[in-house]
Amino acid sequence: MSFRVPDHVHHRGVHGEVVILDTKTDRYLGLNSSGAVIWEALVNGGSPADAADRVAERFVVSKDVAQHDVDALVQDLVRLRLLEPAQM
Amino acid sequence: MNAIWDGLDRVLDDAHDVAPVDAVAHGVHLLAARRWRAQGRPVPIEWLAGERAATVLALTFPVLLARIRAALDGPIILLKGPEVAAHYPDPALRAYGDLDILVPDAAAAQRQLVAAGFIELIDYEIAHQQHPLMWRGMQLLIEVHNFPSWLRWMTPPSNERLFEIAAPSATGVCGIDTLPRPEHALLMAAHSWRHTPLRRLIDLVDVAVMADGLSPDCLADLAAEWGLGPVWATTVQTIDALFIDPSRRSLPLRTWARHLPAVRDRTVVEKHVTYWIGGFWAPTPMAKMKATAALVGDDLSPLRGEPWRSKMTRIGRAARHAFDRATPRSRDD
Repeated sequence: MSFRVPDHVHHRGVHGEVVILDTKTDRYLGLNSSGAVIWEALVNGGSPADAADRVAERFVVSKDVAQHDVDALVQDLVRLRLLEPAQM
Repeated sequence: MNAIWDGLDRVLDDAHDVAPVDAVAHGVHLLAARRWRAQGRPVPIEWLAGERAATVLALTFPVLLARIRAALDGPIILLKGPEVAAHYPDPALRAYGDLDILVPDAAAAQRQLVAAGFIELIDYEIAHQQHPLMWRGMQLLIEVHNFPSWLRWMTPPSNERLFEIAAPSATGVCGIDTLPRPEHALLMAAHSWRHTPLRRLIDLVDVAVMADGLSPDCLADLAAEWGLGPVWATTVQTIDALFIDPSRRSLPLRTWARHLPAVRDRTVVEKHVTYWIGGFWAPTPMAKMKATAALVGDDLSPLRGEPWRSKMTRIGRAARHAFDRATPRSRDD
């Protein structure tokens, strides 16, 4: 599955981190370096598995650990409506 | 344009061990952070925080401007801040704390914005603007101007004239205008000198960025037309000496503006003395006398609503700490 950023969500990278602004709720969210790697993979059309590959490579962790973290973050981002499934 | 950034890098390098707080005082901490990274040096935590804040602002200002546009009828001119930042290599390299807008009827616009959900922050009164506004949860104040922030001893160009020449904003926010670059460059100089002559490095960078590539003679003519001839000449001379050709060391940089090449905050006594001498840059001898008297009187007078006892306490504290770093806040920040 791939994801897209809804129109009401704005984001910007800053030295390995990401700041996200939800203009419907006026709330900000910051993603640390590992979160930023996941975010960049997903918003550029990658799947959660692709994101896990990048995390595993970048932070020298097992694929299972990376996938678990990616799935948890994706769940949160979708729940917060900061990501949504891309239209097929 | 590259000469400006190369020149600033050279100033930062030559200053040796720039104190993190001084770079913040000069408004160049984001540019210094970029320089430190390029040199493989660790970036001070104060600057890291500034970078995150600048990123938040870069996300925030288009949203707020769009809400302001939706709430108001008529023209809106965006001044300073994000408008100038749009001309930087990366807008997130220019810190700012508020959105300054000029509208035909500031009091009416203030009421409309409050009705639209903006919250008014009651602060001490400033002649050139309404009380600051904020949108709950968003990290940027809005200042609706009665007229542009200008040198205290001068009258700014008329609002009618500014609205006549307004052009679309470089920020890309739909329906928002700004001043053409020549006029905006002069406005940045006037705003800086309102506080103190040659106040800080970022003010000079802003002027240089907005004036880049424009005809020096045309800018000088416009400055003369607006009564800013001497102010503009000293500003441009300082920019050249700092960023373009250091061999052209100017008198101010060798005397009362040494805080610029040293990238340090002014001391308390430096801040007050340079505030007083600002009137010397008025265009005529009589204007110089009046301006100097007004500035000294203004500096020695209490703020509106402040008791004299409080003012005398502040004067005593300033005298005891005359050679300490001046605080970053000016009288009307």
